[in-house]
Amino acid sequence: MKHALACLTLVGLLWAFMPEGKKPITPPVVPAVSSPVGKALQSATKVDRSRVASYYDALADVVSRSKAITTVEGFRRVHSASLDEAFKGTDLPGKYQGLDVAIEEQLAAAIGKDNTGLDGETGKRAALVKALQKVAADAR
Amino acid sequence: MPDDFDSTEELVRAYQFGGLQGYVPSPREKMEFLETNPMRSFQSPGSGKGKRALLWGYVRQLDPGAFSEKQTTGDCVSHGSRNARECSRAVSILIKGKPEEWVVRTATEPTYGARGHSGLGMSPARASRFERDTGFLARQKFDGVVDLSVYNSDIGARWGGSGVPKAVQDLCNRNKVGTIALVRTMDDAMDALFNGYGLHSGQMAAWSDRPGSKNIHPRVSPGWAHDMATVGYDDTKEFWPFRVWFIANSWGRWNRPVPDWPSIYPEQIPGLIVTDDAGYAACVEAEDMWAYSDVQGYPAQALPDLGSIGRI
Repeated sequence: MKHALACLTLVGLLWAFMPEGKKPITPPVVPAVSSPVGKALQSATKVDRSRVASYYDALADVVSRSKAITTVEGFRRVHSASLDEAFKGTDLPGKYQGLDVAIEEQLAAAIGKDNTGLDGETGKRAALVKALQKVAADAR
Repeated sequence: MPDDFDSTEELVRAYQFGGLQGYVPSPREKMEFLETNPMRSFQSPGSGKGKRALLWGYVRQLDPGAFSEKQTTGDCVSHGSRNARECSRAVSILIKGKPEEWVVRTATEPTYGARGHSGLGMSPARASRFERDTGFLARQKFDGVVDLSVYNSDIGARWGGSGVPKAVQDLCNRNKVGTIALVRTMDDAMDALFNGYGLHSGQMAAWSDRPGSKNIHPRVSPGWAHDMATVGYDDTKEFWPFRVWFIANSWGRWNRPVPDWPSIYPEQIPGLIVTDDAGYAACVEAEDMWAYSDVQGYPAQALPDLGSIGRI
């Protein structure tokens, strides 16, 4: 352990005092994209990523507080109508192939597609909010 | 005999002064039902003391026109039992997350048609037995069998003497009320509502069509031989300084709503009666109050998608 620590310190000191031109060039670190949403948005601009992330963050907030959205069907209606409102007339719908399916699968994995309630014993509201927040995080 | 009451006033008069007996108590039918029932009386899974349950609000979320169907013959028991099972069904779907679909409101006619005679009125126990053992139907058209898409008191009235046709009974068999329990006390009624079970009861009791000074509908005499569903209670004392009960009548807009209605409540339904313990006691004391649970409704339909396909 002592030896390992000494070695790390030595490497650190050598690195710090090495002349700039002689430092080895390492490629920039690219975060690994593991989620389907992240993969679908791999080629997306920063602005588009931000638009998608902001929308799903806002939707997560609405779902967490809404007393009007009580069923899976109710969520579906709000989700589809608000997507239309948010992105209709922009170039986003269909721009990133597979994004709609990736989001769909991520949400369905959390709450299923059966039209049941979101509250009470199902615990689906919390799961849905978490899934929406994950879509937003994966989009960023 | 059916559609005897064209106007609401006529219907109220018939119950109040005309001796119309929509609720027909039958100790024999009650005993027969209980003898074949796994549960003799309601056993509460949780206490609703100090809380509230406003079950009609859940039903209205799924069926915005619920509780507006106005009876036109002495079939109040079938309206009361339908409204009770709709409460249980809505809570099961919206709160308990039972994988079922609302589809549509359910019908009253098969239950009333099972009353066992051609006259007016029915015993709540007999209605319970039919819905437990035979079932109920949606308010829909069943091609080649019966059209229940619009309330038609003539249908149930006609079946009274001859019995519900076998083809209709066969259709009913798909949807039954799993558990029906007799409720004996007001605290049990409160607990049943708190746990999401709709209630209906037959009793000889009447309420004024105008709210009184306590922001409730006072009791009046003579009583109605009538069955109604209890669709909520509030024991929080937040808006009334005493426990109140909410009874759904099946007479349409027959009364004036209470003037001070809490803004956090779901909207008042047509003809709702608001009463206190003293007024509600008659509903329990008649010993013909039934709690409906485990209503076997319609299987949940999987949705085509959750909203994102083709939109982003």
